[in-house]
Amino acid sequence: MPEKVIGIDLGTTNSCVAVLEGISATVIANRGGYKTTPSVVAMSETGKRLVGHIAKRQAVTNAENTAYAVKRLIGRPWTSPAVQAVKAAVPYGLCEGPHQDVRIKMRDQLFSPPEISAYILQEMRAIAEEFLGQSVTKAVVTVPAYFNDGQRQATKDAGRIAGLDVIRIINEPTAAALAYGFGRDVEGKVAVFDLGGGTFDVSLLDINNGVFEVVATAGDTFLGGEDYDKRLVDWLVQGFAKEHRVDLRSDAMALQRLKDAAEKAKCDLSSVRETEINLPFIISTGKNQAYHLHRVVTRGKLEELTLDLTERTIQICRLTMEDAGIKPRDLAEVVLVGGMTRMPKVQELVAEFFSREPCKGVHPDEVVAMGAAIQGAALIDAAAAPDMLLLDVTPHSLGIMVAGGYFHRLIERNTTVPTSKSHVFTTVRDDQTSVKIVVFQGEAERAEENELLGEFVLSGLRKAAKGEVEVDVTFEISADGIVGVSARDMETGTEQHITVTATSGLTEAEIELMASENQEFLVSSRAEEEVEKERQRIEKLVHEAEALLPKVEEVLSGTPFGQDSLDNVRLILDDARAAVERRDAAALEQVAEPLVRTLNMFRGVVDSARLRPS
Amino acid sequence: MQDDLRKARELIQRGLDHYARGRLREAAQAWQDATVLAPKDSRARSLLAFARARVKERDTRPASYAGRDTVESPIPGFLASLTAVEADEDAGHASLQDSGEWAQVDTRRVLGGTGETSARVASEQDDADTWRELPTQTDRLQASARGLVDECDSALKEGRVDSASLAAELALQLGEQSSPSAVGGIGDPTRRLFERAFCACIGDMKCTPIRAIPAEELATHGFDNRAAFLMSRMDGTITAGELLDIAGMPRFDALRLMAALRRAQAVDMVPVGPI
Repeated sequence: MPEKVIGIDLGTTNSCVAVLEGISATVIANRGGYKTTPSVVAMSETGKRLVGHIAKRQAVTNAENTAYAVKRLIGRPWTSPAVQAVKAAVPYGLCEGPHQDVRIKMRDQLFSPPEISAYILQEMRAIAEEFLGQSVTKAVVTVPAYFNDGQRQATKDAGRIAGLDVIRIINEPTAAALAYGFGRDVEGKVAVFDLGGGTFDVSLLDINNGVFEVVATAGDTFLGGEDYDKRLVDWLVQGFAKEHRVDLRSDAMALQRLKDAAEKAKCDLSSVRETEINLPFIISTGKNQAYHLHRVVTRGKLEELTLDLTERTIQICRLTMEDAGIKPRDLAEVVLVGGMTRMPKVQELVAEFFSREPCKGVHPDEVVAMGAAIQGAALIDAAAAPDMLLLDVTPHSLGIMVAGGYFHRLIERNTTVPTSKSHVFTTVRDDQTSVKIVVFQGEAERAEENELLGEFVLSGLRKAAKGEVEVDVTFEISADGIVGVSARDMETGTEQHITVTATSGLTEAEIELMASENQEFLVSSRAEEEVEKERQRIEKLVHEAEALLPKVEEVLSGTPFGQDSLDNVRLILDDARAAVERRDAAALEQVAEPLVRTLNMFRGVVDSARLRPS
Repeated sequence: MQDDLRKARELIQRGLDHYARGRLREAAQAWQDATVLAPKDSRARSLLAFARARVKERDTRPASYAGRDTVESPIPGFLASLTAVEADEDAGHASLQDSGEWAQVDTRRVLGGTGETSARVASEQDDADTWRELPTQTDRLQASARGLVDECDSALKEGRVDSASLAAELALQLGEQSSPSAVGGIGDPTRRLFERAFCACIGDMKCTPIRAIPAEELATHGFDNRAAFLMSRMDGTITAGELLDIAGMPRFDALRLMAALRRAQAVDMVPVGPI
């Protein structure tokens, strides 16, 4: 069976996995029948790792040990404003890692963001493997268009920790456009409006000859479906407080139920005009009485409660379009991405702003994963997507710092890779014998406002007046995204070179260790499950044997060998009880056979006694 | 395809609601419809098989059967009988006799009454023959607690899992309602014994618990909102083992509550796969 490549939309709030079957991409449902899985990881009281729906369903009651929206942290340094903003907003612990990166604290254990993301990727992989009935090792994973090299590398590292070879990282808006078949039947400018569970992004793509260029991208990493849910929860809490003078927020269990119900009601209201929220026995009165929450919520009420949020997304679109100098009439299509775009009010405002009906052919929360699956299949088998050109672009500009601290771009963003570009620089001081090449990535005019990738010194230059000595600087980006920078003294030919590999904040040794620990965890989890299964089996046998024992004692009491046999049997039962108590795999294995033999003997004795005439 | 899956999910939920309200045939119908829309959904198939088995069981039940077994808990009355200063020797018995399977707990052993089972309690308490003869209420409570632990152990060994679980529950409540000096804390071995009793009562942790009564009725059975929370997590997907992980309370407390819900027949367990 040929190996399949899966496409994974690793979202801030939900993730989705798809695979190309025949000529169309199939989104794979998880065990609960849902096609998206919450990007939530938790550690239970017993140290068990919970991923997906199950983790989400306990996120409020076990808030300190439930990591969510880790995508906001991945590949970012500890000092970044985004990390500090997340720290202020989440109930789980964050601290600085050994390489100025971020670590997440759950149950006294520290996890790096790529590790947590790996657990989600692993879950998506398991969903795909169960569906396909075969092992999956290759994946295409999507990231937001604004992700820098470090964040992309961290996502790749997450794949490695999960045992996946991430053969390509692609931009989410590009994946959405691919799923719609753009690049084949649609060329020109496309707007991708992505309102997910936790973030909002708008991207303007220019599609030409199979190249998907992100012309502009903007958004709000703290605006998404969860904010809509929160408004509904607030409304329910206030209404309940008014009626009963009880604050439901003070009870974690009540709040968890409210959040679940609010999210469901919000989703229902995309297809119906009103829905009921019915939460019986939401809280106790303390006098053996129960309070029930019962409320009818209309679509209009939800729209009223959340109108400012929806309007904020439109405002971001307006600014982005203005910055890019693009007018709505310049657009060939508008694509909706993210579950929140199912909300009729969102669709209405988007259509109004862009002066056109957005594309609705593909489910908005599945479209990105489908695009990734299409790209994945094309990467390993060109016949799978014959019309698709597979050209990657650099997401950010690359260049060096020049006199005055300015940033000189050598490779502009959205340049297709592989690529190479050279530029000749001259010395800026008299008798300057060395130059320091400081490599940056970004779009800011001031070099230091961009991301530092590396630096090196080219020395041994001829002493001369400023501007006389020329140094040729060359940037090369390979198809794998590895950046090489070299500087050559044009007179002497002396050359220095560095290779810039994006880092996620984790060292190679750390990634390997995490990957092997993760593998061990999976193996031991399976082994523990087996032991627990065996323990339950043995316990059941012990119960059965114990229930039969009095009758057997009665029957054997008169026989000459009875006492010896019973003593032996009691020892076997003692051993079995001890093994069950200790949950010891070896001991359980050891007692299983004699226990089964004993039970068979008991059954035989009891049966023969029953048949014996009284 | 997407709509079918969504509709199947809704039908599964509708079936769960019907089941909780005792509408077995309607539940079976909803789950059957779900299997038509999502034939690969093992959850729908398991629920359907379970419902069909229950319908068959109900249809073959004798006509004299008067509906659902009682879910009345004898616990408050029983504990009152233990903690009352002027307790009547038969009080514990009386409150248990009326409530079906609860009566399987041997209260004579617990109360140090007469007969064979009380002999062991008596021997452990030196020369005291019945709790009436114990010198103080504290001694009596301690004897009762020990008796409950013994009953839990014996019932577990004899496969009377509901009785074992009830004895554990009574012992815990006795401890909670008495002053700490009276009964003392629970030691690890006792805690493990109780945990085993609760686990045995719950059954296979791979089974899926589903609501067998509406959450609105929980209060009338003496349950609090924690039980309602636990029941709100039962969506026909989550197994008993998983439910313990997401219960929002310590594992021991969750086990205890789940066992209580099982004993009260507020929750049924659906085996994985066809029955």
